[in-house]
Amino acid sequence: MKKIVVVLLLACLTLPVFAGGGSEGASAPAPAAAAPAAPAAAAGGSIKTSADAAAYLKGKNIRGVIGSTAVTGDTYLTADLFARFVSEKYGCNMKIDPIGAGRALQEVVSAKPDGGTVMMFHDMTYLGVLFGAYDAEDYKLEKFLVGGTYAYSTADCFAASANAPYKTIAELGKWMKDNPREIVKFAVEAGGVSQLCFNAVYEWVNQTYGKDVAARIKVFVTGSTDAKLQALWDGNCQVVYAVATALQQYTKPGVDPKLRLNIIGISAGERYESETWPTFKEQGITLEGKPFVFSKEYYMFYPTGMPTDFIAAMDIAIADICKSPAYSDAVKKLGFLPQAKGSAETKDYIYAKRDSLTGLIANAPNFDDLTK
Amino acid sequence: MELAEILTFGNFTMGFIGLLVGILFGAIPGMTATMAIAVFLPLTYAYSLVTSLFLLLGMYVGGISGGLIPAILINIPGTPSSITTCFDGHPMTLRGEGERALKIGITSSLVGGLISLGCLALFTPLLAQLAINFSAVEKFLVIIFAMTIIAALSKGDMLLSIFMGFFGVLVALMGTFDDNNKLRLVPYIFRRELIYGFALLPVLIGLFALGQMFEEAEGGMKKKTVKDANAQKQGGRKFSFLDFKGQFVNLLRSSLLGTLIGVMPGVGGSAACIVAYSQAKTFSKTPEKFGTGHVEGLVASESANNGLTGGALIPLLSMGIPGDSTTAVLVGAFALQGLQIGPLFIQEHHVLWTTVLIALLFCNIMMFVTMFFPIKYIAKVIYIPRQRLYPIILLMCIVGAYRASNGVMFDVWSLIIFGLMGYLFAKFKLPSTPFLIGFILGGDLEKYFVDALKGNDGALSIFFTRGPICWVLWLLIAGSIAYSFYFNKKQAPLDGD
Repeated sequence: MKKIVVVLLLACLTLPVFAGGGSEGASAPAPAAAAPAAPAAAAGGSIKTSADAAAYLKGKNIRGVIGSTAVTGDTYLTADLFARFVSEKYGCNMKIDPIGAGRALQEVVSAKPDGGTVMMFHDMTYLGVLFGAYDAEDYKLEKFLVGGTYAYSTADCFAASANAPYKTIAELGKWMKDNPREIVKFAVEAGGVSQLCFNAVYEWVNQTYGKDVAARIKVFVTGSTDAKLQALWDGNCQVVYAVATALQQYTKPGVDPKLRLNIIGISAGERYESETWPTFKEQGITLEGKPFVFSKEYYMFYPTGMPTDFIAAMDIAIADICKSPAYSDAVKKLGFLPQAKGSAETKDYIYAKRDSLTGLIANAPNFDDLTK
Repeated sequence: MELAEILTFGNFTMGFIGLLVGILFGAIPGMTATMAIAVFLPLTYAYSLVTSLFLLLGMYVGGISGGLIPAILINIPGTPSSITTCFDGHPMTLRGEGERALKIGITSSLVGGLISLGCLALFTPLLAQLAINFSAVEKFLVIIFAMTIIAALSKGDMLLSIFMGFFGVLVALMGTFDDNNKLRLVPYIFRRELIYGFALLPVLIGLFALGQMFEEAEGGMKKKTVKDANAQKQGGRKFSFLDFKGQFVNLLRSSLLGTLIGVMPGVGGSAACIVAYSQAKTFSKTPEKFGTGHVEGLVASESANNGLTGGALIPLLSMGIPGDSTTAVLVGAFALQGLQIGPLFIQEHHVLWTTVLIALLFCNIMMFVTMFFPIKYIAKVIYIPRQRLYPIILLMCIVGAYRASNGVMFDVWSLIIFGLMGYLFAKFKLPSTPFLIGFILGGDLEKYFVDALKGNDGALSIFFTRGPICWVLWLLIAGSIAYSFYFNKKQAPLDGD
């Protein structure tokens, strides 16, 4: 009897193996598509002023799903902060649920457009699709509505051990050229902003020093900042991608030499406040002759068919809250900056941003080759 | 000045409230300390960091400790880290020693918590250095070491137990592989639901709680209490501190193992209690009594999971790397106040460092006081007739499962699926515990295996050449497997069919 049970269980065990291999994502990056006529956003409706917005949003329960499962990361912290300010100022009850990128995308394409569910996420919304992590047919930007922008990051960076023989990305490229036996591994997350910035560095090294040098750049794929730092300290990689404010303390004197870091490049266009961390632009990290500049921005997204009044009310709320010094201080304390853009402006902006990155992603080396 | 800021009535009150909330979350199947902290995190924005730390650390200690109540009384682990508490705690309840088991568990939790606090206060720099040297290779070996308990738990049917363990690992691997964002082991029609695979809590409470309920429902919900157990049978053995006679080494070893596993970022509380239980059995003079309501097993499990609390804070406060999922959420409390935790935290924020130590000491002592004395009343929960108790537990399980991934309905379906699996496992006499251990450890097993290979160009030799910690771990693994074979052979004629 027991043998029969074991055989049956073995059969069950093999079933998913045969069933598996079902791939959620398309392997090829989605081509940049022209934006079809999306439903009217903030323009219409009866919501024109803050008082209208307050009257409309008062008492509403709004579930903000985010594309991360962590309650300590930038996505949650920025979304939660915004939700608290909206709830406080407009009397609605906005609550953030960190359910992960895949599930958040599923929610925003399938939720009822009644104002009950919105998605709050950053540029990974379209980058994940471009990189093939999420199915373009189901989750491209055209499948839902683009709302406003409420914050942005100026401190996404690459960092290396303070003992490394390079202090900037530019020095890293030159060092790799001068040391033809050396391999440098970058810890990045597949399908996200870090993969995009990695691609930019890879392409710059390729264009500046040739493909032999670029071929010695490899990736160590991993997720959270903690995991990346662990990989660095284990010697499994030499460069990590993270939000620089999370690494700030590791750059200070007095830190154990094994843990100490240098920020070797910020992808934003300008330096972070009083810090001397060099930007990509300052170092001459260019793509096809133009400086590579990328800031991660935090957007709202709505299910298709969302009432124009809701969108207009949220646009007004974003504008009001981003003007408030209290929000500005709070968001700066987290290491980010407030940014108010309405849904119409954001839609044009994010489509253009996506299209501008499509070429870089399409020409990017295959991750499978880079991990070998 | 510093102490005056910390030792206020308001802070202690918040610590106590946090503790009560934590115990409640820990005691409700499907809710955990991590969940309690995540839910209350936004509230801390309104308080100072000192007050917030009292509140959140209270939840941490309470949440880890509260898990023993359902584990002992109704054989449902309140949290994943109390899974091994069921093994000996519930059999004690069945023989009418529930109250005694609870008091032994609570006292062991206090000792584990205090020993780990001592390690945090005195050895943080030393243990932080150790944590840095624990790479993916060593973590993989620790997980393998924890998995050897599957063989130790086999009770004469090792092959089936190992099969079930690896079946659990296989189910844990369903979902998206993070390195390439591709789905694997998932039928196409479930590609949306299983994008992140099955969540731990629905699987845990499904197998233990729902499986048990289905099994009992089959015989009809008669007016009986849970398995007709007694909280404290007349004439049954009562708790005495003499129960700890001969347990000193076990207490110390299990607490230190819990602390040490807490120090290793990413290994987790479940591994702590599993390793400690396994070692207690290996070193015991009466290993055959484990799983039958043996004090040694209960002491090992509860001292180890509370030993984790101080241990997991060591890498967090000394390097900025959380030791487990709960301390990872604690980072949010600091971030909300605009404070990044890193290697200079203790030097630069002495008040907060002292707060952590005082709050942990207060919460551990209050945990003991709050749980130990009223426990005889709490233990009476098992006198509630099953037909009234089970619907309440079922409701809590559903709410807990729904919250497991922050509001995903599929987790409720997972709960029911694994409830049915638990029922079928019992019907076919397939051990569900090895399956669950495989499921709990499977994700980490793969992650650290892959990470170790990725960092070393795919060379398997790295698992043997990395250094002395590695060799010690291999010796422990070999010893544990050899012991399991020997013990299994001894048990086979007794228990085998």
